[in-house]
Order: sequence, then structure tokens, then C-alpha cells
Amino acid sequence: MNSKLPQSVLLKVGMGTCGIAAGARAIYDKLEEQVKNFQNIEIDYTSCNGFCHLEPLIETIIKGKTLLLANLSAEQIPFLLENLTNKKLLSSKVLVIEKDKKLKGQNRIVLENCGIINPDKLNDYLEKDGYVALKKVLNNISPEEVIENIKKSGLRGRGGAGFSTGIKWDLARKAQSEQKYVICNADEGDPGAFMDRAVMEGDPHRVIEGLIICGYAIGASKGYIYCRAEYPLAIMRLRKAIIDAKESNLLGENVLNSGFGFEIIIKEGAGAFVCGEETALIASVEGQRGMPRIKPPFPATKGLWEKPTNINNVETLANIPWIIRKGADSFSALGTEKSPGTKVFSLAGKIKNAGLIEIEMGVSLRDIIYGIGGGSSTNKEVKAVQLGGPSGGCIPAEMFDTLVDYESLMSTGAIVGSGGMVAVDEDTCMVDLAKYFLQFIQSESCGKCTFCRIGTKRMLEILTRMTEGKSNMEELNKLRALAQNIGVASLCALGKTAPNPVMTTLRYFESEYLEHINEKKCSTGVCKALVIYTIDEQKCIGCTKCAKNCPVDTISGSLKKPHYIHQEKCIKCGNCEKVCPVGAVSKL
Amino acid sequence: MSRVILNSKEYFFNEGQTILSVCAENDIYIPTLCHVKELAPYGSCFVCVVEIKNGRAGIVPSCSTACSDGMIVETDNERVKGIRKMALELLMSDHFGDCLAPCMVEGCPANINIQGFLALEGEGKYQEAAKLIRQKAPIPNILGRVCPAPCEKVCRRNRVDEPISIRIQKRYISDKEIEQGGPFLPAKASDTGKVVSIVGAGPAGMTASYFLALSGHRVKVYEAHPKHGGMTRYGIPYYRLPEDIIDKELDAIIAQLGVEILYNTKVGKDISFEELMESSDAVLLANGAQISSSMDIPGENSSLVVPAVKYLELVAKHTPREIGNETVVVGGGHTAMDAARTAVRMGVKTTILYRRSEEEMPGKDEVAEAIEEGVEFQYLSAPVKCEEVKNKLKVTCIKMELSQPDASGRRSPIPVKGSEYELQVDTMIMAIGQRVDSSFMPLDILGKRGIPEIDKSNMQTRNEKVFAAGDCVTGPDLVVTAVAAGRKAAFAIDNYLMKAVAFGEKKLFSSVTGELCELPEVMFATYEKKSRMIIPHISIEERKQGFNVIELPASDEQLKYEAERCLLCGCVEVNDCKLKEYSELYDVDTKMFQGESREYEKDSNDEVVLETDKCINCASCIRIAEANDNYKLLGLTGRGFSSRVKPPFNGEMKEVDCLACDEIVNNCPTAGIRKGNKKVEYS
Repeated sequence: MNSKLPQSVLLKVGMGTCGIAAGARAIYDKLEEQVKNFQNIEIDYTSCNGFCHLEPLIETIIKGKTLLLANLSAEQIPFLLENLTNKKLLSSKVLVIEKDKKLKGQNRIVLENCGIINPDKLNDYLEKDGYVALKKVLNNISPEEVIENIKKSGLRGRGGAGFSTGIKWDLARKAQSEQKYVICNADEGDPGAFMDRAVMEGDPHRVIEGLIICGYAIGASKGYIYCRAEYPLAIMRLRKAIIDAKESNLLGENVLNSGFGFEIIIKEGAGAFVCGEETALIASVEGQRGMPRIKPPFPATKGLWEKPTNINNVETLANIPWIIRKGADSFSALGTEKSPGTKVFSLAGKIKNAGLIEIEMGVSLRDIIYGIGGGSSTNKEVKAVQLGGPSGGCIPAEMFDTLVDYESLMSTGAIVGSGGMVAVDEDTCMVDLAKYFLQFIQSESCGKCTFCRIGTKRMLEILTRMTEGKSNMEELNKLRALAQNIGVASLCALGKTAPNPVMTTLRYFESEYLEHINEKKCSTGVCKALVIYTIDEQKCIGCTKCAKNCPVDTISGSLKKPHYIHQEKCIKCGNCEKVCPVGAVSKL
Repeated sequence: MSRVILNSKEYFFNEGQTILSVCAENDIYIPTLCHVKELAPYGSCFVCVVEIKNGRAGIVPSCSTACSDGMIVETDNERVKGIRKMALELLMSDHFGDCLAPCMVEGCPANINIQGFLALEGEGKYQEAAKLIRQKAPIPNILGRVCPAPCEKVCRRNRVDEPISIRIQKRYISDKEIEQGGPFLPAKASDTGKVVSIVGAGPAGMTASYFLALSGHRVKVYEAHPKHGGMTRYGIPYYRLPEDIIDKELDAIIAQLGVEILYNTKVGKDISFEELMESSDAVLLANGAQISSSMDIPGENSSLVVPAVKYLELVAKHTPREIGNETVVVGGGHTAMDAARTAVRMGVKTTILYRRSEEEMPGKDEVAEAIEEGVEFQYLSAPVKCEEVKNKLKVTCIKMELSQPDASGRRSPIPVKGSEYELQVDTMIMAIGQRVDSSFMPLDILGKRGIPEIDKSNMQTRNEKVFAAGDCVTGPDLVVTAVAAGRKAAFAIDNYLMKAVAFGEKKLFSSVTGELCELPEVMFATYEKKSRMIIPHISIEERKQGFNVIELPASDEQLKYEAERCLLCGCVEVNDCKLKEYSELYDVDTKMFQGESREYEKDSNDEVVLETDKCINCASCIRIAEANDNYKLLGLTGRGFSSRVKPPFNGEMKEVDCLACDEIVNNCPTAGIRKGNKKVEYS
């Protein structure tokens, strides 16, 4: 029985989807079982605090310092509990990190509560000034003033396009209708992006508060949260939060007895990427096939069920309570003049500190990749970073001094996007990368517009032929022409931005394309059809290992004699290279 | 009222009016595929794009973009046209169908509407059928007797049982027309006063005469022989093509269209080329390839060695040359066959000497018939020397073997060393090819090979006033190829005379489903097998005895039977297809983008056919149905590239209550949804 703890210690297990996937549930169960033996130790759970590469983890405060006990396993729990206060001993077997150090370079507004509060406890949120903004607004700010405030803050849509949130609200406010709607777009779908999920899982009331304020501002009595069904935890926590908010009269017919009535309905989407597009999203909520339609009319005048509708993304709405609480000026003081505030990014790919970060706009890519991100996670250099997912673009390492704001990134051909940031290293083939994103777009296109439906398919086919060494310069020209026209002749942003990964890789890594086309070669070795494995007869010692490990038996040679790879059957799995003890196998 | 600038001109518009509607009101052309006038804009095809040059500048779909005051729009600039063209090329790359039947597009060099004339023939409308053929080829009867019918090789019926007997139907149709008092040629346009001189009254020259005369030009043909027809008369024996047919068909052109022919007039001898040039506004060279090629072997100048062309010509002129009791014909082409079969008919023992094997012979049917008539064949053999010995000819031959196929797949013969052998004959007939007589032509229009060099798109030589067509450009080729060339030349000459620029004929536009052998089995599975009509013919005995025409007339029932075997490969919506119309207009290359595509897929109920393989996903059918409160008719299934218009829940047409209302069918921009009983009108 350990009773040496001077005061009670609270251990919070990170139970976001990422933590749970890494094994947080077992950690929590173990803690629950063991903690009975300790006095002064309490346990709770929180959600993702952004340090995905450290999951599963426990956050705790000891001697005034917030510590992260990282990369835990259930077996470590008894030891951890025994030695909680002995940092030195603890550190000998558990990875202990000071949270402040990990947060260096970040400025958290949207994520301020994530990983700190228990998302299922309304009280936790209230203790962090939750719903203060809502009370403020309902008590003494007119809808027009709210909108003016948001306009003044300079907040721009965080879903990708970067349109002024205040102006958008104003349009919806001014639209004449008995019935209006607000929708929270939680259809996050870019590969490698998980900002919105983390916010919904970690601080659901914040999203709800933002949505209610938005409803109040534009004059809507009903709000929808359109969230993909692939986010069950987020949906579960939002549901609980909505129930709790109703019970506390934060939602309902007469919110906080102000006379303003508002209800929220969660609409689960089936996970079509295109449903992140406003008009497709509306169609989906209405129960129709998720296909975009022509704008105008914009949803602000004719949206859900033909009524004025305002749609904001999760992160945009999560900014609202902070802006109301702290004032528009505090917000606009952050970031740059044209892109004020902060932005949440998910760092993924070949980067050491993969996870969720929130930075002030105007920080350089270099500071993110090498500072917060810690650089490459492999022994190869970071070659480029892909921003904005399949709608975004690649920025090469030479341009890492580019600042992260809407205009600067746009000028590189990439976009801020919703915040996916994927680092790639020198082992990544840029043609293959472009192919990957195009493949994604191809399977997510709704099939309405000619250029998106057939054009992206033809682009993908050309890229595929390139990666197989079956293309030529004429096809490269076709690829460019297609990319150009798809970008201007599609209805929605999915189609319009579909060529971006190809355009930017062509702009910055043209030599890799030319290598595939002219030399039928892929230097990175990613494009298997172009790789030839050969055995250096001089080096081969005839150990037969390669032949034994070849899954298709295409290596011949007898003991102590040089071996030979018959190319016809080779599937380029690379086993031979891996098992050769003398490095006689090489890729051409 | 607000104003908008369309193509630099100012127009007024009402609030909310789209660019497309303002353009429509002012006759500014904008193509549309997915737009349905009465419905809200859909904006999926992107064929109606225009470019806004100010404000929120850029490419927009005109169907759904409202005009705003002071907006500057260009509806037809290069960028706009390029995007429209690409949209169409993308749609075509995922459109599985044949606008026109393969026999017409790939098979027939003259692009005769075969499906069309067969349909009319089947209905007994022989005059209409002949008229349809004449749109592309003015000598249906000649072609119907001599054409080796490349069309039949690509006939889709090959995949069911046997190809339609296309070739002879042209003759039968024309025979019927002649019985009814024909040939009936169309009326010609009023006189243009322009004079076109044509050298040669063969198929190329006479075809060009026909089309030029129809256009109102004054045509003067210079013919070295005493009669017209060129090689069809002097190269093809009467048992295949009788004199009276040539006369009937070509005399009609002279009589009905006023074409003037100067016989026995050899240009370069009886009249100089310069005189021709001076007396005409344009000149067409169509003098064929009439000089027999030589073999370059010792002794070939002997009087016992006879050029096939010369031999056939003399027979045709009823002044045959004596060739003894036994002859050997060297060569394996159509001329060799004609010479051999003529010789047999003259009672001469005849052997064909061919340096390749039977497999490489061009005319299979002809070989079979020649064998029936008693012609003997020695394959893989060629003469190397001739010697006159006591009024006889000693021909030394050598055996050949074939090389491995070269890049073009052709196997060339190689002499086998020491395999020489001798033949004793009375004469030897040389049929190894013909050359062009270009001696009268000015050097500046000749190419490297000493024959006229032309721009194939319009048959024009380097001298803009001089055109050339037929064998004199290509060397010996098919009659139907010469007909096609003559027509193309006439088209370009007409443009040259009337519009000062010799635009050539546009290449026939058609979506193509694929090569015969690549097509899926399911396309042919439902057809009942029906064997090809048997062409009535005279007995082998009768054949051997003289020059009676081998093929005999057939009954109306037989013609109807054969015509109805046609699978109607060409699309029934060919004349009502916007996709095709625009593709032609924007000069679409159907093969620009190749890759995965829709496959053969049709579904139907009693009233309507859903041709999913041709659908372009404009969803106009779905939208019209929904506008009529019918939500259970059709919908979109699948995503992206695989999305399809289908009955609900991927069901079948027979489950839905679709009566193919005119509104839906007429608004389909292609053959995606159509009435089951729709027929093409051929005219």
C-alpha cells in the first residue's frame, strides 16, 4: 500500500479513437483494477491531446508539472502506480515527457480542452468557461452584433475554401424565410486528416456551443451535425453531449430561458467524400443521392429543403465560443493579417511527431516539419509535404520557408485545406503519390460531371501506365491538358481540385515523371513494374537464401554458385534483397 | 434592363436569365447535352461552357450561369472550343456503340451506306436503294459485280454465321432499277460555267464526272480508248462484268448529266496537257495504271511473252490475240486470275505460277472458281528466264520458300538454291502488276516515284488547279477505291472552283465499338442462325465454254431474305444524336482518350430500350420523370466512373412502368433511352 502521495493525483487516460486503437482501453481497465490499492489516486479519461505517436498515454500533473506518460502497456501500470512520484525511477521504465515541451511552437484555441477535459462530462466543459459565450450572446448581444463580431475577427472557413465566416453568416441572416437551418459539416474525409474527429471526440460541447451561437446569429431554430458513420465515437460523444445540454437547458425550446429555441439533429453520412461539398451534403441530409448541384443559388439563400442554410465546418464552429469569450480583437491579433487565428493540422506520413497540432497562421512549413514535427521519421530526408489531401498539393522541401496562410499556400499550388499534412521522404515516388490521390478522387467522384467522372479516370489510367513504363510524352501532354480542363470544368470543389496533386507534382517534380516516361525507371523503387532485381555474380556466395525465400521460385542456381533471377516470373517483392547476407541483390 | 456583352456585341437581358437563354434568344450557337429547357439547369456535361472575361472571370456552364450587368462573355473562343471538344472526347471514350455500321466505316472504301440500302432493298424499294448507293458511288451495278467486298470481311454477321452477301446486292438493286427504266440519276445543279477536264473515263474519272456534273460544272473527259470504263471494261472479263452493263451505267452519266467524252484521245499525244490546262478551270488526272510491269528476267521481251493487261484488252475489244494451246500466267492477283480464266475460256491449257503460297492469294473465291474451270496452279514458284525455242517458250522456273513474317506480317518469297526446273509452253502471260503512264504530266506535280503526288485529304497536287485520283496515284487498286477517290476529288474540285479553297471531304465520323474479333459474344447470342443466300449461277460446263455471265439474277424473296439478315449494326438514333452531331462539329477524335469503357449493355421492356452502354449520364430521363412526379422510373446507381442510369435498385426495365414518353426519349441526347420500335430513315 503506497500512501506516500502528498496530495491526490489525477491520471487521465487518452481515450480518443487514436488512443483506443493503440490500446488505451486495456490501460484504463488495468488502472481501474489496480487503483483501488492506492489512496489519493483518481482516474479519469479524456480524449486525444494530439500526441498520437505517444499513444497510449496518460496525462497527469505532479508537482505542478503536466507530464505525459507515453507509449504505455498494461503491464507497466502496477510499476507506474508504485513509482508515480519518483520521476527518476519512473523514467527508467516508462517514457515520461513534459507536456509543455511537446507543445512548444503551438498555440491552442480549438484544441484548448482536447486531451484535458472528459468529453462526456458537461461539468468539465463548464469549468473551462464552457457555454459562457452562449450565455453572453443570449443575454446581451444581438444576432447582428454577433455576426459583426465574427466578421471583425477575420475568421475564415476552416473546411478548406477559406471564405469569410462572418460574411457567410450575414448572407444567411439576410435571407428571408420563416425557417432556416445551420449545419455543422463533420464529413471529414481526406486521407490523413483527423482534426475534426479529434475535436468532436475531445470537446463535443464546444462544437455544439458554436452551432447554437451560429443558429442564433442567422435566425435558425434547427441545426444538423452531418458526421460520417465511420466516426462512431465522435457520434456517441456528441449524442451524449446533446442530451446533457438539453437537460441543462442549453438546447431546447427556450435556451437558457432566453426565448431562443434550438435543437440539434445528428445526421450520419455513409462516408462519401463528395458529401463534404455543401450542396451534396444537403442532398444527403435530404435523403437524396449525394451529388453536388450548381451554385448559385448558394445554400445561404436556398439550402436544406430549399430554405436558407448556413454550413460551417467543425473547426470553424469550434473557434466561435473562443472568439465570443475573448473578443474578436484577441482572435485577429493571432496569425497574419489576412489569415488570422490558428489552424489545426494533422501531421502524418514520414514524420517523427505524428499527430494533431494547432499553430498560429503564418508559421513556416519548416517550423512545423522540423520544429513541431521533429523531422523525418526515417533515415531519409523529408522530400515534400502534401497539404490539403486529394484536393491539395505537394510542396517541395526547397519551399519549406513558405508561410502557412491561405494566400501563401495557394501561390504554391497547394491549399490550407482542412488541415491534412502528410510528409513524404526520398523513398516516396511522386508519380505514385499523385496516382494514389487520383485513385482516391476516382473512387469518390459522384459521377455527375463529364470531366470529373471520365477525365480523372483517364488521368489515372495515364498515371498508371507511367508507373508501369508504358507511357510516352504525348500522354504527358494529355495529362496536363486533362488536368487543366478538369480544374475549370467541374461543378464542385472535388472535381475542380482533383488535378491539384498531379499539377503540383508535375510542377515541382517533373523530372520524376520524365524518368518514368523516358527511362522507364523509378528511382525510388516504388513503382514495382519498373524495378528489376538482379544478382551481382561477383558478390553472390551461393547461399541459396534468395532462392528459398522467393515466393514464385524464379531464382535459380546451385549451392555455392552464383544465383540468377529469371525476370519473367519475378513479382518484385524484394524478398531476395532483404535476405541476401552479402548485399549481392540490387534494384535497377 | 441590364446588358451583357456576348462576343463583343451588346445584348439586353432580364434579371435571372442565364447566358444560354440570352444566347438562344439571339441565335448565338451553344451546344448542350444535359440541358432540358423546361427543367432547372443540371450542369453535368460541360459542353455548353463559355468564358467570362471580366469580374469572376473563367469558364462556366452557360446553362446555369446567370448574366450580370456588364458581364463580358465569349461563347466561341479557342479555349471554349477546346474544352467542349475535350468534354466530347471524354464522353466518346466511354460510349460503347457504332454510329454507323462497320461495313460502311471500316469496310467500304467508298463508305456506301450498306445497312441503308439493304433495309430499302428488303422493303422492295430498289430505286431508293440505288439512289442511296449513288450518294457515294454512281456505279452500283459495276461494283455489284466486280468488287472484292472488303465490307463482307468486317460484316458483324460473321460472328453469327456468315456475312451478308453485300456485294451482289448492289447489282441486284441496280438490275431492278434498270428493269424499271433506270438508272435514274439525280437532277444536276444549274450551270456554274466552270470547265473541268478529266483524263481517263475509268471508275475514278467517271465517278468524278458524275459528282462534278451534278454540281453544275461542265465536264470534259479525255479517253485514250474507244470506249469508257477503263480497267472495268478492258481489264475485267465479260463473264464477270458484261459490256452492256458498263454501257448502261456509264452512258447514263453522259446522257442524263451531260458529261462530254472525247474517245480515242490520248493526252500528251492527241492533245497536250498544256492545252488541257488552258481550256479548263481544273484538271483531274484519272488515267489509271495501265502499263504492264516487267519482271526483269532474260527473254521477257519475246513476242511469246504477253502482258496480261494487253491480252485482256484485246479480248475485250473482240480482237483476241492468239496464245497457242498452252500458257502460263505469272502472278497471283486479280488480273492474273482474270487472264487465266479468260485463257481457259479461249480453250487454252492454263497454269498459274505464283511465287507465294495459296494462303497469300488475294481472291479466295476466284481461286476456287478458277480451279473449277480447269486452271492449274503452281505455288511457290517464279520464272527466272525465258527462251524462244522453235516457236515455243522454254520457261526456267525456280522454287521459292517463304521467310518468317516481317514487321508487317508479310512473308516474302526466297528462291531455293538449285531448285530450277523448266516449263514448255506456247506463251507466257505476265500479270505481276501495272505501272502508271505519267509521261504527259508536268514534272512539278510528280512525286519521287514518278507518279502524281497529292494531298490525300483533297486529292490536290502541288499545282492547285490539278487533282489526281485512282490507280494513277495508288497503283493498281480496287474499283471501289477508285470510285471513292474520284468522289473525293470531285468534292474538293467543287470547293476549289466555288470557294477558291479545295477543302476535302470530311472523314466519316463514327463511334466504333471495336474489331470484329474483339466484340463480346453476348452481342450476337440472340440472333437465329440463317445461312447466306446462295447466288444462282450457270453451270461449270457453261462457264468453261464461253463468256456468259456466271452470276444469275435472284428472286425478290431471295433479296428480301438476304437484306433481312442484316444485324443493323449502325445506331438507330444516328440522325438524332446530339453527341454525334457535336462530335462532328468539334472534330472529335474518338480515340483521343482510351481506357476502360462501358461494355455492351442493353435492357428493354415492350416499349423502350435502355442502351446503358451509350448513356452519357446526363440524367435528363430521370429529371423529366421526376418533374412528372414519377420517382420510380429511373435513377442513378453506383459512384463515379461506374455510375449508371438504371431502374430503381438496379432492377430491370421490364419491372418499371415506362412507356417511353416522347418527352423522355426526345430529350435523350444520344441513344441512351429510346423507343424500341424506332427505325432509321435512310435517305
